[in-house]
Amino acid sequence: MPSLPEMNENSSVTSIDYAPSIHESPVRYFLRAFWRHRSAAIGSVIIILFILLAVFAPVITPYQYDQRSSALLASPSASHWFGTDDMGRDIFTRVIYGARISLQVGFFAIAGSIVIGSFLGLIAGYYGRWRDTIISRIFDILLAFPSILLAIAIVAILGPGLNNAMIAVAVINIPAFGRLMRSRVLSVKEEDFILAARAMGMKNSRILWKHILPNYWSPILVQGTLGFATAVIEAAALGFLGLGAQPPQPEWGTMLSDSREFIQLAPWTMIFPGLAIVCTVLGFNLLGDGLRDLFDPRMKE
Amino acid sequence: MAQPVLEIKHLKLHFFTDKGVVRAVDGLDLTVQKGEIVGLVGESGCGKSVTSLAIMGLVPKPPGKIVDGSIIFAGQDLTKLNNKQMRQLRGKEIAMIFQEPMTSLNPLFTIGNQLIEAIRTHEKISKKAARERALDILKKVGIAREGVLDEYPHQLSGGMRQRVMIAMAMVLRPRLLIADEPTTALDVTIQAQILDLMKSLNEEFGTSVLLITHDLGVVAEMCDRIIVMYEGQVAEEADQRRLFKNPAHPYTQGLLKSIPKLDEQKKRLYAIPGQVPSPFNLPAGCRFAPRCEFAMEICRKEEPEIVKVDEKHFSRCFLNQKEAIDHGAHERS
Repeated sequence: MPSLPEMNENSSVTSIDYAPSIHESPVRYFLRAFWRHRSAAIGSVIIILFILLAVFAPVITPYQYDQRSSALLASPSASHWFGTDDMGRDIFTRVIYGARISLQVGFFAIAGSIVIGSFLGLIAGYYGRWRDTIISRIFDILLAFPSILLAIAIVAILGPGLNNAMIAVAVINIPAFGRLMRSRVLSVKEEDFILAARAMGMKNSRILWKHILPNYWSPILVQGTLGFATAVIEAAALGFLGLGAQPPQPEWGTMLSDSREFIQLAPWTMIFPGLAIVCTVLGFNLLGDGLRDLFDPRMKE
Repeated sequence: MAQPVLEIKHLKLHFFTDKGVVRAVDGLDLTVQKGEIVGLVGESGCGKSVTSLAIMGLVPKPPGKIVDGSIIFAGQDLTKLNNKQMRQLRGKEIAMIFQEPMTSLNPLFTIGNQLIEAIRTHEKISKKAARERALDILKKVGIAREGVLDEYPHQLSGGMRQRVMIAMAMVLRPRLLIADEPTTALDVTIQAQILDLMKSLNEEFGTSVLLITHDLGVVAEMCDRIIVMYEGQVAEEADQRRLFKNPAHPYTQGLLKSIPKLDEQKKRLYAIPGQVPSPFNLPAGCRFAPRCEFAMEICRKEEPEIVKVDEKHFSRCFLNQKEAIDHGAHERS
């Protein structure tokens, strides 16, 4: 034995010493499980690909996104991989720049709804009573509207534009995170270790931050990833309706809407932005599902 | 005698629910002297745990409310303190350990993290100094391996975790430790170790202990004085020797009879007949009368007062009252 347990001279208590356990670090264990999970791996590959495209857009693309050429509605070719639109702009370039916009909108909108939703849900769940009543009813009201209608209403009030579309998408996603947080807090708050923390004389705020919030990371990550997918769709829908990104910004929804007239004449003007939306959403959904499986201990074999 | 560490006087704590009022604690008197280990015994639902939460000021309000009485700890009435004052006492002056060591530690943080946090909640010392103290107290509770500080709760066994909980409770040297069924979730050999540990810390630090349990075996081993609770009231109070040798209240007698004995071959185990009455619908008269084999006419009509049976021995039963009148309790002692 490497070290004998030290006996305290004035206590008769027996000391126990176990051999140090051999444990894989939790991060490495997670990464291993992650790569073995097919949909999580595929989803993350798709997302990373889109992120790379977005970041390196100026390097990858052969043209400017608003650069016009004389080739109007040209079909896909070596010089224009995805063809050109009615103003002779290169669709490949625009789709790639579109990834920037969509990922940005998704990220900021979801980050906003996570912060606001979690904060409200935390307050509602932990303090309960009248705070819970007020906050939960606000969530109910937000959820009573069809989400896209609510988004349209918000953009209508704030005025069309990419930033306002982002705010609208954030607002309509708040209740999802708020409710998730609230239900989580309600169950975690009954845990013995919360009572133990209170018995130790800890402040409510400290208990909320240190003991309740960290227990919420995994569901928030899952919901956030899945929410990212819907945010991309919602932003595209607003763009399609002319309420989101304004031309000449190369937003996927806006591009779809612009090419409606040419669906038969030049289908590539729709197919590629549409595919881009599908792939992004699919990527986030796959990743979200995968994360849910990985984080949920009941799903482990 | 010196001022007691804890003195609960006629505490009434009721829960006001939609279905009616639950009189969880109903006129409880209890004192704990310095360095004393007091056992609080009773069946599930008799108000033991609520009493401990009331001392900590952790009873959810509403629905709970202290209707009457006082809890005097080191000269101040805890029922009159505000949240902030109460928070400063919790953990520092009065510490508590719970029944479930498996769930009383936050699974997301290391043992060291949680111990250091417990120290730094009340004392402004550096993380390094807190870590030293954490190591020190872990040694005192019999965990000698330093690596434990960096381990997560799931890497420890139940007994180890309860040791950690005790370390956490004792690290600030509180005057009073409330242990709510600290050994119920542990197996018997570990139980003995944990009880030993509590006893040795009690001797070393002079911490008073209020041990809440339903296990009379635990009480016999540990406690100087024992309080038997029934339906929110004290049924009997005596020092350890008197209670086991000469139980005065029929309820205590029943509890003692229901401990299975190894040297007896019986087909059936003894159980006190009947059930704990619904807290919404307490019987008139003595609360134990419906289950009591000695119940008399008067028991179903009037509530008995607590009477002195012997030196440091009190019981709430008309039988004892009769004896007290017949013989005179003072003459007996």
